[in-house]
Amino acid sequence: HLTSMALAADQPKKVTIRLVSDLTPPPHPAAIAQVYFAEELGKLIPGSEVRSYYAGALYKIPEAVEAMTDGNLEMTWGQFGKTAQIDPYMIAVNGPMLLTTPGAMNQIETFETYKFLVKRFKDIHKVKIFGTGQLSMYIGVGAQERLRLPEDFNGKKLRSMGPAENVALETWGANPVTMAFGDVPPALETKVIDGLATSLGGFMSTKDQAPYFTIAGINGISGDFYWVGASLAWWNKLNKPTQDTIEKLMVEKVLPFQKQINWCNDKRVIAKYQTQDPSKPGIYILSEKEAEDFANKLGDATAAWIKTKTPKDANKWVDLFVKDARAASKAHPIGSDPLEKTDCAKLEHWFTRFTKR
Amino acid sequence: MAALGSMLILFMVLAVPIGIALAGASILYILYDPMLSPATVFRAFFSFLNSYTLMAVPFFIYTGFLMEKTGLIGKLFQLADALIGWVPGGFAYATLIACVFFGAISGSSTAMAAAMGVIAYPEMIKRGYPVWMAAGVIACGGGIALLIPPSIALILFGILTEESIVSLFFAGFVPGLMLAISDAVIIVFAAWYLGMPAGKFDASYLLRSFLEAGPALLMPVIVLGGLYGGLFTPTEAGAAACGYAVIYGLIAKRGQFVRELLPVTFRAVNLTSVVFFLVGCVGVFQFLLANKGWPQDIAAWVVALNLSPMAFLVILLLVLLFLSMWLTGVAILVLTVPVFFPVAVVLDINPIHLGILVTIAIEMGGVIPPVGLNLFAVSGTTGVPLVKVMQGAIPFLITDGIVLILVLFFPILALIVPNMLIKSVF
Amino acid sequence: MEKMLDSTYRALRFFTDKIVGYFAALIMIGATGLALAEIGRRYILGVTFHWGQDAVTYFIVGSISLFFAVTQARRSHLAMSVVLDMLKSKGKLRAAMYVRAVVSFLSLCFYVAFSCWGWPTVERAWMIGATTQSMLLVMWPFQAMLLLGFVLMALASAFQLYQDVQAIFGRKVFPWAETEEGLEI
Ligand code: NA
Ligand code: NA
Repeated sequence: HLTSMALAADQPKKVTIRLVSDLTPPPHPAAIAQVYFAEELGKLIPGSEVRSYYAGALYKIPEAVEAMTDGNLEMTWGQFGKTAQIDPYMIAVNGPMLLTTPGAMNQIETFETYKFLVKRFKDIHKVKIFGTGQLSMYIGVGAQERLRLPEDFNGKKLRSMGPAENVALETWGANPVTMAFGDVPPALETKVIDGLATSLGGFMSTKDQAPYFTIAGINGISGDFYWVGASLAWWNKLNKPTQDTIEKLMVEKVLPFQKQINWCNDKRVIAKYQTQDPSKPGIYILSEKEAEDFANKLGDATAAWIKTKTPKDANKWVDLFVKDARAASKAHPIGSDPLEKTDCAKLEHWFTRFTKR
Repeated sequence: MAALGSMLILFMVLAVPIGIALAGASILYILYDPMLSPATVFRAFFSFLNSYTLMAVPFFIYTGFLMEKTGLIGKLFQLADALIGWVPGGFAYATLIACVFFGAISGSSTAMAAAMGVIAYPEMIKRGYPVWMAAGVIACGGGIALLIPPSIALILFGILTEESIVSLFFAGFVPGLMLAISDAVIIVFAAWYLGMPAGKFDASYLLRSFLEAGPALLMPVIVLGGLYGGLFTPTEAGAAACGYAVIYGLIAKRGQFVRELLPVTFRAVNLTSVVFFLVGCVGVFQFLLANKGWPQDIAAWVVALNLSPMAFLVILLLVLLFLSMWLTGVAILVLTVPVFFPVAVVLDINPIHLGILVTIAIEMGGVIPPVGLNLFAVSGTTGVPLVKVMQGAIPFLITDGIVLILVLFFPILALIVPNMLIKSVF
Repeated sequence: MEKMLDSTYRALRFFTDKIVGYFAALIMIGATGLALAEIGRRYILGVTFHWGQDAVTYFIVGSISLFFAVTQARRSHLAMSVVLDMLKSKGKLRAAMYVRAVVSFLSLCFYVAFSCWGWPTVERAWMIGATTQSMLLVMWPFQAMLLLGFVLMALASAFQLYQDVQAIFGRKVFPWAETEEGLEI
């Protein structure tokens, strides 16, 4: 009897995980990764269930963190930028034109700033962070005409993604506008606004109203990243084998998968809509020279703004992140990361599963 | 599920305020559920209210009061009376036409039901319409706002499915007008059944009313023009309408209007408070349902049936109508679309057609008890007991159902306008 | 005792009906003005405040939350009155009075519980410095407004419960404060 009890304690126990994010459902690549997580967990611990709540259906990101603190929610897949509402330190890992290569992005978890935030999240919010994922690397600006030079931004009313992006858009000369995403397509149609900063997914829903989409390289217009974390109030109640199973799955399979599927999603959307001729509608990727003009004009404006939003002792972390990010981008040039060699054909079935027409 | 439902109904029957019945039953359930602690309910209540789109409700209630106080609404309805009041039940048609106009300004069904409760209900009662009919036509007419663009439901559906919001907007036009016509059919029958008297058409009365209504007629022109001409967004339209009413009031009544402004605002805030308290409590109730995963499970059940496209749609719509007894439209969309939409895609169901069907179901859900925000809004703004509003809504709900069936079997009704007007750049 | 209760309730009602009520109405006027100003600024100058929508939303929600208390004090939160109406129409006034007292009691419990759970939420928002989306407005004052709304509702419903229980025993208290129509003794 005792042995069987000891054996049972060594087995992973089935779990029900409420997983909150504010991204849209599949085919959003991060949402596909959540489906992958649910299915793999079901195989490893039969009877387990992952309930994904998309688009803030249960909580918005700041409230999700608080619910995890209280033990009312198991896991969250949230942006660093959006978490700043409840912890300003979290925007230290933010800012456009810093992590400009896939290899550099894959270094985030080695940065001291990141390690500091992980510890802070554990101590203050009772949240365990497993690792990071990425938004689309190609955040860009869509408009009714091509915005190719910093001068083209002058006086344009552009819907911004959040307070950090406001700063970049303003520095480039645009007038950032805050509005609900749902208002954007009609606002573009009636010219309340001239364009918007958005992801490739956002481009897909506005491509008829803002067909000229311009990308300033990887993380050019915005640089925000996902963290994936769990409530410690819940986590600490799990037995060791269950914890190990979930953590191993998340760190070794789900997060790498998320990066791959996101990379492949970027590739397939760009393959479909890219244009080499900036005067034609479609996705135009700025040349390195063109992107440099934007980087020069931006300078350290975003980092400086972030410092005004964070407590004084966070400043050093902001500076450290900027320094590490720039160094990582130099040390890991384009083409140097295994992620860039992902065989996207092998992942194609994930997209067809959710987008078959 | 059953325990929660019976507790809720017991509370409601006891005449416990509906908000308290909903949130109280949820709290009792949460106290017994190890997955949740009641520490979260306060935040659930608070965050459910914090959305800029929801601000359309106070703004449109406020517009309603301002329009009434400035005499703007009286003149508009006098014109409507002269135009169509001589037909039996004519004034109810005027209300429907007003619903279509306001629907083109407002994206929120509840906001519109509340505004109509303030402006159209008293006018209908003044003209001797039965209470059930006045309340019912307003409660259901509010839903027209969800089909005539702009529309919160269509926006959300577009975001969740990455479908073109503009295509969805165009697709809502014909079904929206059909809903208005279907409600008019009820009025024809009611007018005949109740033997409402027919008046006489009076051309000079019409001319006089038209001249007097001049500045008032500019209101829909300017607000609609501003919305479609690039001045403001759908969510800002409510504030714009308030602005017009204030300017009109200042010009028409000057000092007197300034003195009346604060008391009028007080009344608007009072009614908003009745509606918002309920909305916050509905938030707590939905928060519980979402946490338990029941709406998703029910949607997953439909998916698991492996039906043909048509059978899938029929069962799906029935299930959405059932869910709308307990959830608001927004909650139904965010919780169930991610579950059923991928399957609909595989079944080759046109996503724009699907979006319109789902929106009609949600529109109907606004007047299906026990949780029906339009019922709450109309009862709150008119003072008509809830049960009476529900009864009044039933005939209109039935014809809405007929529209749903027509659009279900004839997708072209939804697709004709977008097919004609949308030319993709790519 | 009776006199003291009466004057306390009067003071409470003055605070809710007059001070809170008109404060909320003024905020509503301000929020509408801000929303309009933002439309104008964007159209004419091409600029907006990043915190414009946030401010409109949170100020309206905050002021309406306070106003909940007025609504409760006037007993105008929506309810299904079928059973009460039936009892009244059958002349069972006493039974209706019992039902009304039970409702007041349940409401009181609800408001008290909500206030107790709300306090730590507001406290934590204050402690960690939570902000709204624009990161310019601090969250806790708005949550505190909702909390105050609930506390005031709890107080009002306590007095209403007292009023309803006294009515069962045939005593009329707070005659100046309206009760439900047709249930007067
Ligand atoms: Na509408
Ligand atoms: Na309903």
